[in-house]
Amino acid sequence: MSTKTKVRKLTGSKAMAEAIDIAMQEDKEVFVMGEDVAKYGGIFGSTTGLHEKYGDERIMDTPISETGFIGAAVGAAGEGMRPIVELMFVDFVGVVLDQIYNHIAKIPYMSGQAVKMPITLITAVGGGYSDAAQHSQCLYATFGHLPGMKVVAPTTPHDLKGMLLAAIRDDNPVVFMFHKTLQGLGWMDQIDASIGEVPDGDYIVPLDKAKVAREGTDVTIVGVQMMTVEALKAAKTLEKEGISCEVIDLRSIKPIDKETILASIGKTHRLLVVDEDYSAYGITSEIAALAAQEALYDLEAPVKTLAVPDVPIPYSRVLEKFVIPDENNIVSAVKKLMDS
Amino acid sequence: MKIDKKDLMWMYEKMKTSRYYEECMEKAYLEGKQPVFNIGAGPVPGEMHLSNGQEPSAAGICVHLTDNDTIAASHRPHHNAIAKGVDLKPMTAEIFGKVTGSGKGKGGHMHLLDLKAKFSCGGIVAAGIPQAVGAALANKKRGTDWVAVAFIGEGAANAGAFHESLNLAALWKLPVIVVVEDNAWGISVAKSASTSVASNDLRGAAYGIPGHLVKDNDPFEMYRVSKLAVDRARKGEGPTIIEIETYRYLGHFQGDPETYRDPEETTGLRAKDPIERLKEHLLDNKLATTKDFETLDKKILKEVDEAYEFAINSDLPKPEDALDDVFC
Amino acid sequence: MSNIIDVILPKEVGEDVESLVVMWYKEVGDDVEKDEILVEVQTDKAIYELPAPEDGVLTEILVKRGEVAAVGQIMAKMNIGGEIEVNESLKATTVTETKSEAKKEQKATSNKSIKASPFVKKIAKEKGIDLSTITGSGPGGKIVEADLENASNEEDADFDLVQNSPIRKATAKNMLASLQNTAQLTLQRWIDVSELNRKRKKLSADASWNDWVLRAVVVALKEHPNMNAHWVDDEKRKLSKVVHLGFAVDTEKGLMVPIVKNADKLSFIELSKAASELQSKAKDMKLKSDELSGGTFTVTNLGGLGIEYFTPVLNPPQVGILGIGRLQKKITFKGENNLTMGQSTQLPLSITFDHRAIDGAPAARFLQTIEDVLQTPEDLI
Repeated sequence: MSTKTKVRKLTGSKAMAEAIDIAMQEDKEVFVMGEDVAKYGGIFGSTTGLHEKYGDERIMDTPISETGFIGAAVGAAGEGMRPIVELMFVDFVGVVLDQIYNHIAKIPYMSGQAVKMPITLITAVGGGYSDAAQHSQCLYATFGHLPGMKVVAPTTPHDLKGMLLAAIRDDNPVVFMFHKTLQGLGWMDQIDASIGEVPDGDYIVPLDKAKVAREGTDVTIVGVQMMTVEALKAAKTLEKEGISCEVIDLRSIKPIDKETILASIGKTHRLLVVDEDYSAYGITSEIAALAAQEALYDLEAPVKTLAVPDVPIPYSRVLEKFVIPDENNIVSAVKKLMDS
Repeated sequence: MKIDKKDLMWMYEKMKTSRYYEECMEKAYLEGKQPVFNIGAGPVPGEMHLSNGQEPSAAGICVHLTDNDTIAASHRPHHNAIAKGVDLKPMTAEIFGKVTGSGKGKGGHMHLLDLKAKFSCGGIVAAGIPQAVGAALANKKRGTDWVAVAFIGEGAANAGAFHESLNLAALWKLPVIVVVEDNAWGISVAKSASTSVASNDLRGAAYGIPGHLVKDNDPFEMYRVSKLAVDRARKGEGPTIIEIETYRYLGHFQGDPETYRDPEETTGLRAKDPIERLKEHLLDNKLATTKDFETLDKKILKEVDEAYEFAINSDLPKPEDALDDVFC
Repeated sequence: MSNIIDVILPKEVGEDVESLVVMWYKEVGDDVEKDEILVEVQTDKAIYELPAPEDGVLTEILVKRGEVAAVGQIMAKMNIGGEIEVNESLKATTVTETKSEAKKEQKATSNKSIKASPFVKKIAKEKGIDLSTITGSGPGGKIVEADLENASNEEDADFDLVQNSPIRKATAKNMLASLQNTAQLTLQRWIDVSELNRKRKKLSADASWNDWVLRAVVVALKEHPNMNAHWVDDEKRKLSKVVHLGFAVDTEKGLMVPIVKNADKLSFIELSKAASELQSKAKDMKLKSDELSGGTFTVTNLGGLGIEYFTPVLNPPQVGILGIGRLQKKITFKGENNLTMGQSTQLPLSITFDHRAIDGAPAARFLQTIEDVLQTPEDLI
């Protein structure tokens, strides 16, 4: 007879909804604002089933007025509430950037922490399903670059729930970026990574730690969300050719977990960074700089990077596939890295 | 008001072309996405927002426009494009992601354009309004009587850009018309849950400009108020807001489960189909015969079918083409 | 073949007039055309410009600016020879060019950066491996970690690698430092200990030869304070008022030098006992640190191992160390004309001293004192 407790599996979207549910149960000050978050449950399912339970009062559909309702979150937070706001697509940040980077991110600092902004901004990122230039971006580095906000991008349903709970409970503003294709939505490509084991009940995952998703000895691959998924696939392929990859799921863009990355480089001496965001001034540059500054004498070869080249995401599938790194790109990059 | 038969037939042709086009797109879009819907699969991947039922909002105003006038449409652009006279072949090729598309396959269905017809559209809600204002500004600077029209949904009327653009246009008396296609739903949110006023024509008062409300998807009324607005603009008297209560037969996007609205609603709307209403009016008033419609329908089908054929038979771009066209 | 002509100051300048060279328009090595002005000279009447007599190259200037020349004097020499000359000069330049090119190349190869990653360079540095001696087996001839391992392994095939013990390491360090940083040298002689040999058993039943020598050294040091000193620096050295006598002990673990403190205050028996105790402690590794430091003079005895003379190494800052070799019976010649054979017992002594602190003669006299002292062993007890 097995004594092992079976952990049930959830999709990414349900994991997120569960986290918000737990937070809302324990604290009446938590509420959600966003477009189509009520009956629809969020375009990408982040508030599935919550409107039924909490009603219009706490799961609030808003007009298409990002500056309006995200600006309103600033005010509500100032009065001691804990708003969760959904920016439907991260690409829409353009119409509301001022409220986010100049206000949410800076009011705590400018007030010497007298005023806190316990806001969680959840937003959908990512492409790969032909949604073209204005609906497929990641913008990890854009948010990571601006001071005053914690920025996280979990991959697995387990981490989505744990980190969202941690984010809501954090008194600092947190930008919580979830990848559309990892939400496990019925109308997208069904990928295995969008379903995972999620423990029942209350648990958190820290907001400042990367995770070693796969241990290895020959090369370190650092990835975020879908790029972690692709890296893990590549690692399996490379193992058959005798190359042992250590895959790090970055999870936290700001603050970035330097220790885990540096320790891994110290072990493997080779580094590949893979990013679904644009290349210039991005995560790949940030981590390559970290390696050059703090792990130069551990490097056997120059750092290799894969990211979207500096072009808008094109619509046509063959073009989009060309610009977003995938398993094959990673395999070939690792082989070049082992040979350099 | 008496509307010239020519104009009525023109409107019918545009609306019918548009409807047929969308019905073909429904089928084409579903290819490769069955049995389980997968948004990224098939020859037409990505989001698809179809305009079945909204035809009068485009035809009713574009009848008054020429190739000199500019329109900026939304993420639901096909009826606007067709009414504006966009070339269907490159438009369809673009939706299929082919290299012969208007954007070489880089823009897709939400980012179509036609330089000759002066048509563009975009996926960021309300972003087209200030852009139409800009075209109107250029027209005024050059001293022409050309106008610009921005097509938006009723949801976009609540975005910041709406307010800033109309204030600016009113202030500078720019020849721009904002057409609000009120199809009652902003994805899943009813207008009553998003808008603080009963209809957006009332918001004209906020900028000191006229607002017109067209009820019940009426192409005749749309024709009438559009003429007023376009004439006003051409005379240099400034902007107008037109709101038309129109019908969205399908979901917000193809694949939308539409759990937020009663299926009876669309059945009711289809029963009042505006194209049928127009056709009946023309037949009843002996302005056209059944034979006329047969010929016209055949012509329309041929044009649309040829466009789809062109798209399907065109080549895809080369993968490395993705890196081109960032800069000139 | 070169054809050198003289450029002479002509009569035109003025008879019996001295001309001052004002300015040379051409330099040695310049090409000159016929009639081109070479130099301007000044008489007290006028300025005269001297033209080149032929086409050629100015090879020598004999009267420099500011100097005086007379009519008929050779002002300069020119080479008006043909092509060969030109080639010669070309050849000269080529040779120098090639030389400087070769130098450049040499410099380049020595400056060429070694193809190895930062990680490998770090390991090489830690292991003390000179990367310029390693051939790389990585891509493009890059040196990889495996190459470093192989480099050390090849030589070691014939050897057993032994880790140096702490005592070995300390000894190595100290010996090297001593030999590098002092001006040490060794004087050697036999001393006659026949008297001691005859008397010692009666004087002390248990004392060893080493005990007698230690005692003699202590007494001798009192007479030769310069030998019982510490070198400080250029300016000074310290003469010790007491004798802390160190003596070398060979243990399993290595060389140790325990020290008998205030040996000059101890009686013969006390000294003997102290030395014996320290020796046991040394062998048992039970010496305390103050028993291993602070010595003013050291004695080292290799006589038991058959050594005669040797060159003991100083324990800086001490300025002297005495090495004792194997006692030997020697035949001596004495008497009138040294014809009578006799027997003596002799002990070889080697004194290594720091010549910065002491000279050879005093060191030699120190040895003599030890002999003298041991002639009357009864005085030592």
